[in-house]
Amino acid sequence: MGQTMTRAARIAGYIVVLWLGATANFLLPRLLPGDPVDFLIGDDAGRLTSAQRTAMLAQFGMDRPLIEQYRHYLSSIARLDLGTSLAHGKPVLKVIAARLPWTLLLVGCSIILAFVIGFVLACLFHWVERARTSSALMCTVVFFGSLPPFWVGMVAIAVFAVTLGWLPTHGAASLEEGVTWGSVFHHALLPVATLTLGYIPSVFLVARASLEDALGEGYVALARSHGATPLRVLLRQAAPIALRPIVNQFAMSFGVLLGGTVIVETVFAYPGLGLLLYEGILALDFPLVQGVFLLLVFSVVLANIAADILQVRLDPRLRIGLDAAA
Amino acid sequence: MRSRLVAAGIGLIACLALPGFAAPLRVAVAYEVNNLTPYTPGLPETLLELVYDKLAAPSPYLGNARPWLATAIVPEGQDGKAWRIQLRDGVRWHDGKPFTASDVVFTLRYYRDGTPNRWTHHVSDTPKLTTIEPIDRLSLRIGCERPCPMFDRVTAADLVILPEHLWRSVKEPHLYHGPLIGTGPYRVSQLEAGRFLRLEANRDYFGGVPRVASIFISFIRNPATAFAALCAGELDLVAAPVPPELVDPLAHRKDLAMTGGGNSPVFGVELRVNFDRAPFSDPEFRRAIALAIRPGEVLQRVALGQGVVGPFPALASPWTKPGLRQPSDDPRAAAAIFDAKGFRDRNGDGLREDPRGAPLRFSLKVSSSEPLHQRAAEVVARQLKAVGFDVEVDVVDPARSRALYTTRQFDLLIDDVTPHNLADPDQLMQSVMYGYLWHEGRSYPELDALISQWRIASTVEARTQAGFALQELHSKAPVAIMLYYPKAHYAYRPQAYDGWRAIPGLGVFHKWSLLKFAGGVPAWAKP
Repeated sequence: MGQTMTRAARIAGYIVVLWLGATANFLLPRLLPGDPVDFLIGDDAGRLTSAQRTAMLAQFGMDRPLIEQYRHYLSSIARLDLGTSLAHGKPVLKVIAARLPWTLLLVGCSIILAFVIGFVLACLFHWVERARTSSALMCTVVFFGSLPPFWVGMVAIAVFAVTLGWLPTHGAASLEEGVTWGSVFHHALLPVATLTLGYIPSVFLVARASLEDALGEGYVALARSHGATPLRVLLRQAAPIALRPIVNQFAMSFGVLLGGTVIVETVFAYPGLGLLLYEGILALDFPLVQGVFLLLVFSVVLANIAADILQVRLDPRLRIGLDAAA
Repeated sequence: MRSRLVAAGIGLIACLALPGFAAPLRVAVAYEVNNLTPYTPGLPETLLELVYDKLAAPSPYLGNARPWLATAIVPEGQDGKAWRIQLRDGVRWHDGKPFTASDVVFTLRYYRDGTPNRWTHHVSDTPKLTTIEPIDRLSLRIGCERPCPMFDRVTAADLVILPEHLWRSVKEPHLYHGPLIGTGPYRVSQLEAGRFLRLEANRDYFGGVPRVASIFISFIRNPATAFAALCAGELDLVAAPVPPELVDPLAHRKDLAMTGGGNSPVFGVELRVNFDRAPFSDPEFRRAIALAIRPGEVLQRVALGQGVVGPFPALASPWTKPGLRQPSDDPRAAAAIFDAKGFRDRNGDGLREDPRGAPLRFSLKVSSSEPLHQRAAEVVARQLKAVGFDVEVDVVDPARSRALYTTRQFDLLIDDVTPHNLADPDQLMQSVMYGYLWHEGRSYPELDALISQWRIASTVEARTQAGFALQELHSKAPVAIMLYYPKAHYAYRPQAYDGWRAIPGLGVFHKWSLLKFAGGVPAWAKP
């Protein structure tokens, strides 16, 4: 009973977070000065009569009082109707659905690569016991992580696309060949590398710290006293335990990286959600911006739920803790 | 062997049959194309005109418009209020349906009475068309509420014509997603939102043979990426001017060529002054601000000297008063005006206070997506500081910059000014009526008198002179202070296509670059 209550409280917490996110998502674009008619008509929007302006806003349901718009917004979310994009003239869900796979490809590949590389580097950091080498490794990783993704992207284009001619500068697939696996892979390499490079340091720092904790545990000392080699201790004893916070970060990073694609997708003219969001903000396309942000909010909350479940599965002590609390 | 020869022969014939270049041309534009109708926000008319046509062409900006979909646009009567339009026979829409007068009647009425778009004020306001009636299958008559002497060279060259059979039942044109059908030299073969637009040549085009069979248009917002793609051989043209700092590096590349390079006299960068806010509401104060600005320095520092300085509107336009001057380059005269108005430095901090002694601080808004404008803002802020004003440069995102402008929440703002505002004589009236240069309801008796004069002018000459008077009045206390007119260089890959023609106000990526004219290239379309 107690455990059920705890779970119910958690679910209620998630619902409140979702509601707060959705409400902020509704209010924030409306706090900006101006309205989307300025984008639809351009510089001549000033000459519209108020009746014309209202008629245009009515097409997108924006002529109604704020509270009515809010009520309509919440009920539409429940029906999975995110409205109609002003810039695209299509249902937002359709527009997002067309772009989501491209971003999932970038983010999915980048997360996996960043975690593998970050974790391996953290293991390397602990395995190489020389202080100077460890410091150099730390400095290098942090240095690359501090570079602005915009700059990294442009340098990558200049080197690998313009100078060497190995990779394409922009887009998600070849225009002539169409969407083939080879073409998609080829076009994704530079944006994935740019995103990955920016995310490795945070994985590395978390993995390094958790490995350090794990290496200080008693059972590791026991393993050492039984003559286990440092590499075996690191990989067999410390790494599995150190993975727990990393898995947590893995789930959380999905939402973070989804938001982080705005710059990378703009630099590489990559037709994903980030570029869509950027174009939506430029156009004050409220329904579209709300739709994309809502997706981000949902993905972060879902990632949290997934991380919670995984944590308990990975570390039985947490389940015991939960039972004790119940 | 024989079959190979046959295959080679077929290949050769196929190549010769193509009207020019067989490989698709790859062009990048700096905006995303989600649809291609006159109701699609943010589209330049040059792209729209690859698919659709206007009654007159090439543009309303340089006084060179000639009948295009029409064969004749002639005035009826002496009052300048009525026109008869005769249309070409034999023109077909891309779906094979014949183009007739009912399409033109429908389009003009649709623009006038329906949901507004960027162009509709040219039939619903300046001028306001009161009658639009078909005469027969290929001719129609229009009547204006007030004289509309510029109809044949401005209005007719401003509005693209839509097919009635597809648009008749469309109630919400911004949401239109039907077939993209026009009469233009290219038909839309594929549009993948966010990725590309593919156009195929319309071989039956009435205005000449398209010289390029197929065009891929990519959407690349970031100019650095677009020019990198051009250098990497992934593009054949970037349909945007080369940034000043890239002109030299690109000019030295053997695989690329540049066109344009002449001054782009109908596109510029301006400093907008909010005449709704004190102290900018005072004409003398605005004049002093203009005098404090040194546009030559802005041009040197921002555009590396590549361009010219000039007044608003553009001197290159036939609709601009010859010899028009913008007050500038006289900080001493500016300081004298500020002193006389009571804006003095009373506390010795080097900055002027207002006549009541309160400190003054102006905000200069500039878009974060325009690095050249940001540089210009820094130079302008320094120039204004030199005459004693504290100006804070406030970089905001482009949507916010636009919104602050339309809601009049700014002191000063730097932005582009397009040919539509610089060289369209009917737009000048819109500008003084609806907020760009002034707005209705704000007292300005001198301006009101000139507007009345402009409205009753029934000949091109009288209308032009009335426009000159409006420009002269604006120049005395400018609201739009021109900073510079940049030179527009366009970089392309000549091996792919070498027929680009830079036309002022249209750039290079327009149908006049892509057509093989039957009687040779018209004078206005020559580079």
